[in-house]
Amino acid sequence: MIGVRNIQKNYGTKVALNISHLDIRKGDCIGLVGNNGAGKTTLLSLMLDLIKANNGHIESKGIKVNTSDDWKNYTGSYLDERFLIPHLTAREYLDFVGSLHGLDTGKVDKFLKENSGFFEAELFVRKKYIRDLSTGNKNKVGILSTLLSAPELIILDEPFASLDPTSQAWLKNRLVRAKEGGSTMILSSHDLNHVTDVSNRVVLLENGELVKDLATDSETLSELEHYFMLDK
Amino acid sequence: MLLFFRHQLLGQLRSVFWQKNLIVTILTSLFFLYLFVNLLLVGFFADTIIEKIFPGVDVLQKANQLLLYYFIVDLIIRFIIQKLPDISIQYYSLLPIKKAKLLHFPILGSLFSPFNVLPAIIMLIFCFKQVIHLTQWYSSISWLLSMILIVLANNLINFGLKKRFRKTPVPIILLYIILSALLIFEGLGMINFSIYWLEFINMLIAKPFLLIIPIFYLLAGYFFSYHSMKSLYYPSDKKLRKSGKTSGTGVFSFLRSYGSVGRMVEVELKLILRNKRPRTMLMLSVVFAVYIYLGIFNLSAISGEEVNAFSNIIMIGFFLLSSGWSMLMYGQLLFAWESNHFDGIISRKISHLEYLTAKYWLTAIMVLTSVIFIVPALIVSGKAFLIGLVCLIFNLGVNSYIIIFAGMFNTSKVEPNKTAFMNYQGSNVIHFFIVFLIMGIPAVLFLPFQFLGLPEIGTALIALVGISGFVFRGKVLEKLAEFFRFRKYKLAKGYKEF
Repeated sequence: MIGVRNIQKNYGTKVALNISHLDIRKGDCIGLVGNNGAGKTTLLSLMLDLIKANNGHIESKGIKVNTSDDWKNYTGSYLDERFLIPHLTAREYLDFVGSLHGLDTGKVDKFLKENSGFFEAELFVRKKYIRDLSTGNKNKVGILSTLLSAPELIILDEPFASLDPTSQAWLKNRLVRAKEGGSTMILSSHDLNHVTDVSNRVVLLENGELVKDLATDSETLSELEHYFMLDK
Repeated sequence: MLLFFRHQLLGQLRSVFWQKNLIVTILTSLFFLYLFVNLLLVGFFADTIIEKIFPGVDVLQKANQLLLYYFIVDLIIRFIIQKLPDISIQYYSLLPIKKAKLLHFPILGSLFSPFNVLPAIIMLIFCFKQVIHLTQWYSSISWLLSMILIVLANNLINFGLKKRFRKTPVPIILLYIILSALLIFEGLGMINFSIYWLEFINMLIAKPFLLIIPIFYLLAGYFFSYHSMKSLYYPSDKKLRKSGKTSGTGVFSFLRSYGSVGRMVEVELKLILRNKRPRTMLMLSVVFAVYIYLGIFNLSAISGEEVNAFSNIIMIGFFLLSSGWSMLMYGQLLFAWESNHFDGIISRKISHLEYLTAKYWLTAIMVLTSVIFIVPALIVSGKAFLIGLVCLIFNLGVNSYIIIFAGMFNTSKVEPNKTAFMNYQGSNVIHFFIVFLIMGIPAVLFLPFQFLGLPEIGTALIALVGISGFVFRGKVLEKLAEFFRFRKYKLAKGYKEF
């Protein structure tokens, strides 16, 4: 599905990311972990062609992402607030994203009804611009807009951050369901519990290098905790 | 207290304004210097001006009388353009400093504004030239003091008003009504307020102990602004935006039948409607277009029916500007307006070509609506109307691409929800040159034919180039999209920095 080929990204003289080879197969659910500055967001941004690599490239279904718009058809993503249009209401924004994927308002209604466990009913009724929403609610709108088109490939940066406990649990279930439905996923997170619960493969970055690439099993959590020195 | 002022000063010195492009800084500083010199000259020659306009009256008396209007206009101007010291007391609210002290600080800080210093200097000059001749020594001092007190009090009143009515223009409208009411009453000779005012000032001059009145006014102003500050002390109070109201929800829905491109145009029209800066900017550009337009009428009045070479070329310039002004103004920041959500735009399911096509139609809408400025040209002559139409076509078919292309070079972040007045966020040197380019190409096309005595062919050529630009828009936009593919990283990066 996704192929990372000799990718390198520098900021000035500092190497932010340097991965020679990483293949993500269809149906994989990757948990991307690493401390601040490890290069998680840089990798995700490169996958979405938001920044330019100094070297190498990333392929999506065999096509370089920086030469084509095709990957946008089957990729749903949310990295941060810069994905939301601040002067629209939450509902207008979802309608907009839906329309790009050919979904009319009826379909958006249906989607919201199916996923109503994730947000207060008020969020999409209230006529409040996104710029006036709280961080948690912005995050929810962004995640919903990603799931809306039922994309083959889901890319989320820290989806669990600033969510309330109920929503975190809900999102975890929702992502597991999407995985069972055949979606490929790449999630970054600092929450090792969530990551090991959802993913079937954990990729660990440190200082821009790929340090570990593990298949998730019952040992993974303790191995990660050991790595991050949480067991001391 | 001193520490506060130090922080404020640091805030000024380290402001992004100075770190901007050197040329922009120089140009804006020159502009302000020019204004400053002008104001000083006005102060210096105020007496001569008054003598000229109202011959045979006592200058000082008349000046005092006019001061009433001056002070009202002063309040209006302040409300529109004066910036309050924007050091946020929130930074300090957690530190062990008394709340009352915190509130005093921004109020006192606002007194050191050019809006107070300049009038004070002008008053001083005027005082030395005219007021000094008063018989009593204490009279001139009392005059000067009371004027400065009123200026300062105005500052405080404005402070309070601005805090109270943050986003509504209610005070301006009220002041306008008061001002026009006073002028109408005076014009009709019913009640002459400025005469009462004059008597009041004369009394002040004669009996210095009456200085207590302006002092009282100043204290009232202080109390007012202090009170307004206090009611807004808690940050949550500031967020009292009227929710439950969205604008432009239904108006643009017809665009939805044009697919993704139509959707993008709709979203951007909403951006204009729902954000302060683009909204004000476009409203101002309408005013400006009308202003340019008056130039055309003037021109035809001067040259009469005889349209000569000079007026032809000037007319083309005028029409290019008046039908392209809104596009030009908005287009400076064509992509920067979306800097807050640029990442989303370029990673959602919109191809670069669709995105640029949407941008093209947005500029096209702006140009096409400016046809309202062209139609009245029929009053001048049918020929003027035709020239106007040709210019509009040229804006549509050529200049719009230039605007889109130039927009890709503006990599500074813009917050569209900030005020439009005195806002240079995202100003860029390139746009000083764009204007030359936009006016230059038609001139190059037209001038040779004008000198050959064939202005009609020159005009037709401009129209032809414009039409072919419009017809082949698919090709041109594809080329632009190719360029955008390389350019977008620079834009995305620039919009993340501050």
